[in-house]
Amino acid sequence: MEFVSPEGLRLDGRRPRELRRINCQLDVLSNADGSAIFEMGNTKVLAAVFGPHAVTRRSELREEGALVVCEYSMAAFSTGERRRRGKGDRRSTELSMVIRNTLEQAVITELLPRSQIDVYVQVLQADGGTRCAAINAAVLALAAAGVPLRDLVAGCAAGYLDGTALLDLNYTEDSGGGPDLCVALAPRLDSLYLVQMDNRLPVDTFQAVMELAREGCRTISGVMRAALLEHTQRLAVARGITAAV
Amino acid sequence: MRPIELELGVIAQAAGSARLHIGATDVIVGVKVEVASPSPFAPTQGRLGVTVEFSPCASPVYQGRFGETYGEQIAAAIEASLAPSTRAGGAAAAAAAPANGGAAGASTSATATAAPTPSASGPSWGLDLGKLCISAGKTAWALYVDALVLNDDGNVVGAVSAATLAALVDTRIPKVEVTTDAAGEEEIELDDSPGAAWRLDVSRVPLVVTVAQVGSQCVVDLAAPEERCSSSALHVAVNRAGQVCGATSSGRAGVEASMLLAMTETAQRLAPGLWEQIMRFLQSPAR
Repeated sequence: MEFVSPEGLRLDGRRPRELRRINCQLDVLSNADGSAIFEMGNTKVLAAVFGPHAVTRRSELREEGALVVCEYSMAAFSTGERRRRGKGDRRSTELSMVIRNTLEQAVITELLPRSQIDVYVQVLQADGGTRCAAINAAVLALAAAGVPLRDLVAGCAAGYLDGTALLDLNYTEDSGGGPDLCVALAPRLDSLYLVQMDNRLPVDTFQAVMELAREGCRTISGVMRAALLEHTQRLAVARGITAAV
Repeated sequence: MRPIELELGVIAQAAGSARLHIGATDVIVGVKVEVASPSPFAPTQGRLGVTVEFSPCASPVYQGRFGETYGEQIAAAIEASLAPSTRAGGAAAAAAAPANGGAAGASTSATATAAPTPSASGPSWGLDLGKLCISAGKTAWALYVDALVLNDDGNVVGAVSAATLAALVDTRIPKVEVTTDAAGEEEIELDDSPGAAWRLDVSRVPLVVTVAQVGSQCVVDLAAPEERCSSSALHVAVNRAGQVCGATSSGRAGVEASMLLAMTETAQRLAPGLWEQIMRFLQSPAR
């Protein structure tokens, strides 16, 4: 299969270094303390944050910082072929751990000792890059919940197919057999909170792909920041703190 | 009833989908169709599967496996309302006397179905699963209705039922042609063009209305805090003609026998209007 046409266009018409259309919605659920929907092309992920609240299981209480609990689940209708996957299968458990690990680094946990923050991620539509979209949705939901964050961490995937480094793979490209690199970056601190790669990749190509993914993270973080600012502004107007712009 | 907000086609990967808000209750229903083999007990019918899942986004209590049985209970009620024979026992539903409705399990969470008017062709209510058959005994469409509850502010059953109806209206099923080649092997050809797709006949799909007993009153569309005050609830499936197609009871205290008739009558009065309202919205040219 040809992933990049001779004209330099990908299967969905994008350029190799082009992201899909991003859409962020904040505070979409009324019950959660913070929630967000992060959309990237056909991938759509919902995240809800509850807390910080008292630790539910005493044995997990941490004196030095907050405990971050994460659960990732996929809706039965989210994938192309229907699969009853629910919660608790191996892939979901692994992803829960990956997201939890990333978020624990992003949250300034030492400000919230002896407390717990629940993050629930629900994939509504899956079309490649759910790992990164899940992180982005979770970060937005945390920000909406007012949890102190070190930086607006953003995740982005990049791959290497047909001798070209490709940004933000969709499902067809993801299952194309090439290497797939998933990165979460704190853009202002310039530190990588998550690096995951499958398949083999020469070191010099790896650097190119890595640089591309980081660039993607910075762009996504910018879009997320703009969405958050707009949302906060709308909230401020609604509560009569500032006049409408 | 609280105002209902409805959105269609929210899930691109599904054959049909709908998102419904009623109060703060928020559900998404996705319908998927795929070619499968029919059940050996009903070789000329398609398959139907309903699942209801509570997302932990609704509340942290749904973390892990909690809420799964509650979801299954709702799924059973919805599935029984969509197709008479899948879970309630095929022969029993067809042979049931044309009762005037109101047959309900008195114990908690028992399902009872009563056929209003058994007709000669197709089932008297619900979906005509016979239309989903592609090749008798070999292939048929499997219809999967998956509901995801994103927020629970009461009346989840009613919300899932209405969203399911809307998603079924939205559902497009690709056209297939069965050809027999020289060796006598049947081949199925799928026509993927949107113009060739057909839609389900939903005119006989009932809506499930939950009538709860609070004190000595019948109350519909309870919000979450009200639900905690109700002693029992009856989920009544009513079609557009006002006929009762099934009932499931749930709750802590059991339905009071003297209340039962009033509860079913409340549902019978409410459902046809709701049905027409949803349909009018779905068929309005503004959409």
